[in-house]
Amino acid sequence: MTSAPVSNPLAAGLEGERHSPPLALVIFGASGDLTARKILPALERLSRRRALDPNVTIVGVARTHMSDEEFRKLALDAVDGAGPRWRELVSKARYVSGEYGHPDTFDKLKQVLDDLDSNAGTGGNRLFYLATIPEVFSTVAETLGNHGLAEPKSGSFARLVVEKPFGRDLQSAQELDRAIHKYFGESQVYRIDHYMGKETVQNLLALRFANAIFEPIWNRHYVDNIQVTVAESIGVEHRGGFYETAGALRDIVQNHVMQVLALILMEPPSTVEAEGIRDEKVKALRSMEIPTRQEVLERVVRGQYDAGWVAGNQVAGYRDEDGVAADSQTETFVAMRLAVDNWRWAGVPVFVRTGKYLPARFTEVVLQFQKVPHLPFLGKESRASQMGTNALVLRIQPDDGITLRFTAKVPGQAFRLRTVSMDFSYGGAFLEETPEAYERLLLDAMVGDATLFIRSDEVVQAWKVMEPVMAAFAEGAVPLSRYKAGSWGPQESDRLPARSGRSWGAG
Amino acid sequence: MTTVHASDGQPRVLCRWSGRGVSVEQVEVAASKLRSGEETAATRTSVVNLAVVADDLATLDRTGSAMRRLGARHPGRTVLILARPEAPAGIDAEVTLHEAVAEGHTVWWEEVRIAAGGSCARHLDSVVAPLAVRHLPLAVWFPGALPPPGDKLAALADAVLVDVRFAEPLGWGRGDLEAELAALVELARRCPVVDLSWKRLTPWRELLAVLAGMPSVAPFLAEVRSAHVSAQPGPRRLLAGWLVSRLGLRRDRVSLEDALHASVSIHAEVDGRRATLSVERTSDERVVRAVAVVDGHEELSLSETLPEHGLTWSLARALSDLGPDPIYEHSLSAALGWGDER
Repeated sequence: MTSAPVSNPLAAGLEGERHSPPLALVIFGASGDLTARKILPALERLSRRRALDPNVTIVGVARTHMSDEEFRKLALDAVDGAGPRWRELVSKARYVSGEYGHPDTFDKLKQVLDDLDSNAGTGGNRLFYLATIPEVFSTVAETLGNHGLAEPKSGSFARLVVEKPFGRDLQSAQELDRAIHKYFGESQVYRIDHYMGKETVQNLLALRFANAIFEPIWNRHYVDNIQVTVAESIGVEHRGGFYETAGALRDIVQNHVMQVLALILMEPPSTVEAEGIRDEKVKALRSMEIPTRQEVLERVVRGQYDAGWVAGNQVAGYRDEDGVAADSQTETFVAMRLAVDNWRWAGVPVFVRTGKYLPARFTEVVLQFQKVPHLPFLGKESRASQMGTNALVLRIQPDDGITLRFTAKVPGQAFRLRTVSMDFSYGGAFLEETPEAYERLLLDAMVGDATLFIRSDEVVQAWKVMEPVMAAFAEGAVPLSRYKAGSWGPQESDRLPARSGRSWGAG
Repeated sequence: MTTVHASDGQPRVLCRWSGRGVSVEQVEVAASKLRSGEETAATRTSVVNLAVVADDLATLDRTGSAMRRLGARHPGRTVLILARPEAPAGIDAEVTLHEAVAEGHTVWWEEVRIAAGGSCARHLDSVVAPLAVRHLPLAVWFPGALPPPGDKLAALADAVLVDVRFAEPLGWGRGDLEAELAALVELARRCPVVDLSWKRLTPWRELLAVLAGMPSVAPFLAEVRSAHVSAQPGPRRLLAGWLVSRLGLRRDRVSLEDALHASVSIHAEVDGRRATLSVERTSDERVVRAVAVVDGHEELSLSETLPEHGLTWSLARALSDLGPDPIYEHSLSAALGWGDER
C-alpha cells in the first residue's frame, strides 16, 4: 500500500476544505503569555472547526520546568470549556524544558520530533513558532539550524513563524534576518503581524480589487488625504518596562500602520498568490518618502500622557506607571505626515496617529476626498459652511465595517445640505463566524500560504521610512509634548493636518 | 402603531404594526415607517430576503422563531405567509421591527406576517415582490411542499429552500419517494435548490471526509466494497446518492435501512486489509460519533455535538450560500433509482 497522498472525494464541496497537514507544531515560549492568550485558544478553535489533521501534535518548549502532563493542563486551562477535540489534541501534546541557547534542549526536541514522526504520524512536517521574548529569536533559529531541524526531510516541510517585533531598528532587523537566513530560506519564514489576520484588513483587498467603483477614484485625482488612526483607550497597563524600550512608533507605527498603509497604497496585484500581493506591498512601501531630518521636525509630533480621566476613571500619568522612569522620554503618542512618491499618490498627504489613553479605542483608515469644485445651490457665504467632505472610512476595529460620508439635502423648502453616513457593518452582514486573527494566520502557516505574512524586504523598507524619525526621537530633536490622558493627544497633533486646511477624522 | 419594549437579552421587538383587510402597499409603507420612526437608525446590512409559505400557523411560528434566533446575524427581511386559498380574498398583516445588539453594532430587521386568502393566496408572487427588500436575493421556502412547475413565486426567487426530510413520511403529495425525488431533481434543474436536510447532514459528511482523509485510510477509498445508510427516507437517499456519486459505487453495493437518526458506514478492502468507516447518531443524544477501523484496530474516533436549534442552524447555513451546489445536485440525481424504496 502506498503512502502517497490520495485525493479525498468525500471532502469536495465541504466548507472546511482548508485543513492542516499532519505536523508537529513546536511552540517556543510555551509557558508564556502569548501562548496562553492567543496561540492555544486559536488552536482550540481550529480543532473545534476540524481544520487540524488528526495527526497534528503540539510540542511546547520553554525554560519553565514542566512535565508533559503539566503542559497539557496548561493547554486545557488556556481555553474556556474545552471540548472533546481539544482534549484529544492536548492529550498527545509534549513538552521540552530547557534553555533556548543550550544544545541539550534541542537534542531533546529532536528526539521528541523523531519519536512523533515514527509514532504519531507527523510525517516529518515541523512548524516552529517563536513566541519567546525577541532577544532569543536569533538564538533559537540558529540552534534549530545547527541541529538540522531547519532542513526538511524529503517530501515534508520545516517552517518558522516569527512574532513581531522584527528588530528594534533597521540594523537589528537586518541582523535578525541574517541569523534566520543562515539556516532558513525566506520561503520558510512566516513573520506574523496579527493585524494582517483581521478579517477587515483582508477585506481591504476585497474592497479595492473586487469592486469596480472604488479603484477609479483611488488616486490623487480624487483623494485629498489619507489618514490612519490606531487609538487605544488603555495605558501601558502592566507593561511599563516593555513599553519603555518600545514606544508608540515601534509598537504600532512601524508594523501595524505600515502594513495597513501598504494595502491602501499598493497597486492591483497581477495575482492573488502570496508573492503577487507581497511584491506590490513592498513596492508601495518603497514609494513612501524617507523623511529628511527637517521634514521630521516639521511633520512629526510625539507626546506622552499625563494623569487624566478615561471612561470615568482617574488614571495616572505615564511617568507614574510601574517600570517607567521618572524622566522617561518614551512616546505614548505619535502623529506624523508621510508622503508617497509615485504616480498614483504624488501630493496626497498621509496622516498617521496612534496613542495610549485616547478617549476611544478604534482603528480606522479614512480617505478624505477632494471637495466639489463648485456648489451651485446657494450664495457664496452659505456655500463654504455647507460644503461637506466626502469620506470613505474603513473601520478595522471595533465594529468592523465601512462608512461612506456624503452630502444630502435636508428636507424642506430651503436648499440646506448636511453630511450623512451610509454604514456597512461587517459583523451584521454575514452569518458566518469570523475567525480570530491568530486562528487564520496559524492555519495559513500550516498550509503554507504566506500571503498575510510579512516578507523580509517589507520589514526592512518599513524600518527605512521610520529610521530618521527614530533618530530624531533618540536625539530629543522632536519635543515630547504632554497630553492629558483621555484627550486626543497633544494640540500639535491637530495642527498637523490643520496647517494645510485639513482635520483628523471623516470631516 | 405600537412600540413594545422587551426586557434585556436576545433580540427585542422595537415596534409593531398590524392591520386587517389591508393592501400590500400599506404593508410596505408600514415596514418603511417602522424603521424611519425610530429616533436612531441601526445598520442595515441585509444580504437576503426569506419568504416562507405555509398553510398552518404552527409552521410559520416555528420558522419565525428559528430566524429570530439568528439575532444580530439576521440576514434580512423575513416574510411569513399563511396561504389559504379557500378563505375569503384579502390580506391581514403584521409587521414587527426587531433589534439585536452584538459586539458593538445594532442590527434591525423586519418580520412581515401575512395571512393571504382567496385569490391573493394564489398570486403570492405579487404579494412578495413588493415586500422584499429590493436588490437583495430572495429565497422562498414552502415547508412540507414542493412548488409545482410554473409556480410564479418560485420563479421569482433566486433560490428555493426545500427539506428532503419531508419527502416521506408526510410526503409532498406525489405518492411515493421516487416520484418526490424526481420532482425535486426537476425543480433543481429549473432553479438553485438549497436543501435543509443536506445542510443538516453536513456533520455526517464532514466526519466521514475527515476519516477518509487520514493517510492510513485514504488508500482504501479507491476500493470501497459496500456501504450502508440508515436514516429517514429522503435523507437516506441523499446520503446514498452522495456516496454513489463521490465514490463511484454501484447502487447494489449500498444497502438502505429506515431509522430515525442517520448513520453511514463504508467498508473497503485492499490487499487483504479491511477498513470500516462509520458515522452515526444514536438514541436522542445530540452527538454524532465517527470511527475508522483498519484491520480491527481503531485508527481514529471523532465526535461532533449537533447544534441545539437545528432549524436555525440549517436555515443559517442555507441562507449563507444560495448558489448552485454541484455536489448536492450530483448526489440528488444519484439518489434516484433505488427501485425497492417506497
